[in-house]
Amino acid sequence: MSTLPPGLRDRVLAEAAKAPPARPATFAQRAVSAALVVTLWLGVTVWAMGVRPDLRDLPPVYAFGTFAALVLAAAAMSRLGVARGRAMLGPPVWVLMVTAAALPLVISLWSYVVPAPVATSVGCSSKAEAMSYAPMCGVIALLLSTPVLGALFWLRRGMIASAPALTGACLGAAAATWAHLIHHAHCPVAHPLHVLTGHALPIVPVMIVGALIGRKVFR
Amino acid sequence: MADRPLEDAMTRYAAGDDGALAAVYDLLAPQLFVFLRRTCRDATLAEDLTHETFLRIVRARALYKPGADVVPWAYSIGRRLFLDSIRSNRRVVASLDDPGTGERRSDPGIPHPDAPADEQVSAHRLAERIEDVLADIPETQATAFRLLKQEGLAVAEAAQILGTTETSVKLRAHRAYEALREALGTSWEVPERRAGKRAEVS
Repeated sequence: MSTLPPGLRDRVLAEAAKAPPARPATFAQRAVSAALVVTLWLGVTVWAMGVRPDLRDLPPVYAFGTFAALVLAAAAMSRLGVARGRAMLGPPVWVLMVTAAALPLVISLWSYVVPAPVATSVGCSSKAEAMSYAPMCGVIALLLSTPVLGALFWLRRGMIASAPALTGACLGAAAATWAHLIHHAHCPVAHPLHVLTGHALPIVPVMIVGALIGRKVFR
Repeated sequence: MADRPLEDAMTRYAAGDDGALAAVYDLLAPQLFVFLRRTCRDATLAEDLTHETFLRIVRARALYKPGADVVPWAYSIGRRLFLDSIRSNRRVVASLDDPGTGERRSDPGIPHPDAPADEQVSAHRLAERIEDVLADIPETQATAFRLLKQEGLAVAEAAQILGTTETSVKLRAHRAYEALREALGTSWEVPERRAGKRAEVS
């Protein structure tokens, strides 16, 4: 104790006494609130935009396999992005790096690995026609991601991260994956290139936005 | 958590026991202050940074995960405050007239307080030279070295504080070690550690 500046202890304790009382369940309350907001947002947008008309005709592996995979990926990425970690600094950097790099890649590959029922695509008889809808889907994906990204950042606010930009990128990837899920439920254009460019690739700009915000708020 | 008194005290504080902050301070502040003082080489600034770090912890206490490691968290906050202070052009001056006052947990070659005066003087000069060398190399390398060799943290903890991978931390510490070896030869190492030290760091 003798090595510490005299009076520092008293100053710290006096300042701390002025702080508002702690609410121990703050993080849990925030997590529940964020989960409710995201769920509500997903439900409202799917309801407002409508479920794809060819849902009953789709192969189960494509329709429900993709749905389940996207839910799992988005939930896992969200959980990873908001995790407090062993030392209140989030997950280890290598975990964030691997997942942030792998998620867009895996989701993009999924578009090709899982056979897309192009023939059932409503109103799209050609690749060119399918691709003509891609920019619009991309813009919608960005718009759909925004509230989810806001909810995830709100949940994690006030905490620092070991790798602020990477953590923000993970939150961006999570938000864009939730948006991809809405697209999967709504957009009937199933051409792999359309899914890749209109549904999956918007992950990248949302990740970049997340990284830029994360650099500011998690350091 | 009986063997982790700091985390135990922080958990109690986060749960609403305001009196536990004094225990958190008593357990954390000495090593935090020493770390920050070595990092910025300015006792006044280290005091400010320690103060601000505790205030950040106080503000974030409601978000504390029970049992989470406190030292890497606090070091990380303190280091970022220091980097912010550099960015905002606050005064960061190494004061040669203000030798280290902090306790040293694992510094090589620091003699016991009862050791002969000449031994203490030479050890003090050596410590100054080490700090001079560390001040001349990139901050990330110097901090990696300090965290591993002076603070005695695990590589994983240092990686969390520095926001990088464990491999990168080892590499940075190794580069700092090489810089010290080049500048000071082997005189800065504790004799019994010289033999196996190189293999350990690399």
